[in-house]
Amino acid sequence: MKFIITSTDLLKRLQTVSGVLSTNNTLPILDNFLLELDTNQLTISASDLETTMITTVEVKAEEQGSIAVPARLLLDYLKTLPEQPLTFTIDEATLGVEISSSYGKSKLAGFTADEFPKNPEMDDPSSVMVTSEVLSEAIQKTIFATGNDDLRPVMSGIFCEFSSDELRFVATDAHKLVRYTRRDAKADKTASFIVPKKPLNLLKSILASSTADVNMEFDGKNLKLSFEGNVVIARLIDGKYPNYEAVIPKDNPNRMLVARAALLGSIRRVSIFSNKTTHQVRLRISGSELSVSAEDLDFSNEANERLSCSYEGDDMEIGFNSRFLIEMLNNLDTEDVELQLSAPNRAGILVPVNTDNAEEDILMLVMPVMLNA
Amino acid sequence: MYFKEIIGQQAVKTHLIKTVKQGHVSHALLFTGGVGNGKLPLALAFAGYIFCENKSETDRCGKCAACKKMDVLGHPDLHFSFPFVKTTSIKTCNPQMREFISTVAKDPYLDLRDWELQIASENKKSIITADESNEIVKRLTLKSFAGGHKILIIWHADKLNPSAQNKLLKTLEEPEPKTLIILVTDSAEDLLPTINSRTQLVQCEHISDEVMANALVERFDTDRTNALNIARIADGDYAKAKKMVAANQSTSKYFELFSQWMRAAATNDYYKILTACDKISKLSRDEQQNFLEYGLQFFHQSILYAYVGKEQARFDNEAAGFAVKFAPFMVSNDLAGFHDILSDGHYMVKRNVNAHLLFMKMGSDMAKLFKTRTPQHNS
Repeated sequence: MKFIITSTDLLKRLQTVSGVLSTNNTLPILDNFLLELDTNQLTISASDLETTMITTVEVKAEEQGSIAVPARLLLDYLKTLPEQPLTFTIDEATLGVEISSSYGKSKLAGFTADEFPKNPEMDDPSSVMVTSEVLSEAIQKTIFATGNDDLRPVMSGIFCEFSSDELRFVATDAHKLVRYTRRDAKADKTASFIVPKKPLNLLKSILASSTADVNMEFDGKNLKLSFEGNVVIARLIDGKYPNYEAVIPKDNPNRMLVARAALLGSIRRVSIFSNKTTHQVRLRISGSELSVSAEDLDFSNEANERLSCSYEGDDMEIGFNSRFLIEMLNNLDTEDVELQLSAPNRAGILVPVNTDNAEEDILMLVMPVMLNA
Repeated sequence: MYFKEIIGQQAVKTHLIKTVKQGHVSHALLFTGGVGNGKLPLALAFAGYIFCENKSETDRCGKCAACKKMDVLGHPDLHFSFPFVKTTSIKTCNPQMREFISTVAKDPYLDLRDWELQIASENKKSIITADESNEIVKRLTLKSFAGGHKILIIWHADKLNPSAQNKLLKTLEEPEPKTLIILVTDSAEDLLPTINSRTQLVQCEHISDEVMANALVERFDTDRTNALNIARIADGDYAKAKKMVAANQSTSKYFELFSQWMRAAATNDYYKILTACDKISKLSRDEQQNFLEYGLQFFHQSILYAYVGKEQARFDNEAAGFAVKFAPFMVSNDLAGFHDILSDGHYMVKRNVNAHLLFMKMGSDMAKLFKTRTPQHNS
């Protein structure tokens, strides 16, 4: 088979899909791009078995055919070329690939396309159409809360719970939890699944520069996202997600309203003086005053700051891991946030106040740490 | 690997196929049995049979997409874990996964020692670490690629260290649906009882001399007498038999050293004992262990030779000549003495005792034993 394509165009496409290439693949064939030509349409796929990414590009060609080409070699070569048309001539019998540029010719050996693992067809998939903004926002807001614990693999992904009323994304690592709900996108039927982190991180970077609508399709095993000629297929995590609703306290009589930036700044400064292993900060709320303090007894470091807040409830004192608080406050955009508390040994809930988007509902939960009296 | 390529093991094959047909495949299987009798090939053939989209009553089809991938062990839902030599940069199987798969694809009757020699210097012992256990859990995290079963084969599961075994307990007890874990081991007793109790035992049979000899004749360029000789010495270990056919003299090296050493001890000639010890201590530690195992085997066969008759003893022609003279020494009440010297020596080699010193002491101990004995003929 034979096709002609501009070098920069091809490089751009290859670089998009090369995000899924992994350095320690078990199958040697996965170090290759799969090129499939079907008159004028060139489909490029890369996979690490966990995530498969496919992109299509227009080329000048008249034939059909397919081959797997070593990925690193092709990428390295294309990076060195200035923009110019390239002619690929592929002999499917000998699997030889010849690339002709204006400088000369280069040859490399490919592999048969049959060896490349094909994702099976989806089995009666459900689908949802979302805008890339909704999806990237959902990933952005939740992914930081996913866990890294090897022994609890279900918590290393984002739990997606789709229904005919709303789409819900949940992430937790047992210390913190984020529940992100969108009411402006709906699924045709109820479904829930856990998506691993790697494809989501990949999507986050691709979607950031896109405004297209994303078609999400899923069956029990795979999630397929199609947008702008790109397709990302992710294998789902096997297992049952913990019943997260059970850990969200329902009755929180103590509510504190505080400026987000001010609180974030305070905690950032104070946490520097906190114990380096526990990162513990102490919030003391009385009347309309919040005092944020931290101490490291080993080095006699301590810090204390005061903020004004509006508070309803009994005076209380509660300890948190400052790193969790910083991460959570960082991932909210509103001017003010509300911290809902019940007791010093119960989880605290952080929610944004006066959001711009009425269709969005964010709930962040953080477990407290014990304060030694 | 196909069921038809496996030597012997007919009962196990039938049993495994039946469990698939009836849909009673357990989620965790423990393949055990003697060294080199083809447990890994069985596990591979079984995995291939489960994956196959068009299986027959006796074997996988070899034509469907799954079978094509199994031919090179490249099925995306087939996972492996195996012993490796831990270094600061290698903490899991992943860096050597490709090498392992290509080695096993070439020779599924792979011997652990050969694998160790292939991946690292000869004096290193391989294990499966706790870090690898975490990797195993991670490998099984995702749903299966092709939508069917996902199968993990742990080769030499007895090399899992205790903390690695403990990390696997939860996964072994209750893996996600359509997950199959096959542990392959020569010695199930080295596994924690908590692992044993979570798996279904599949006892693989000893390959009989007859079957082994037939397989050797079929697969190698060797005549039947030689094949039978080798089968006798290999004692059900196909990996060993194959190596012997290939090298055609690997035991003869040990035989030469052993007979030299024994002759020296029997004649109470300390200069000759010293010369023999010089040669033995030049072997690598693994080879020294092999050598002592060979010696123990030789004792065992000599006893058979002396008491039961030469038809029962598994000697090749060369060794039989020596055994005629050696075996009468074995007819004694002090058999245990000889045995203890060799097996203690084997233990000490394992514990890195200075080889030259050790073999010299063993030689002189044996010389003392020989001195108190006169050969007796059992008539």
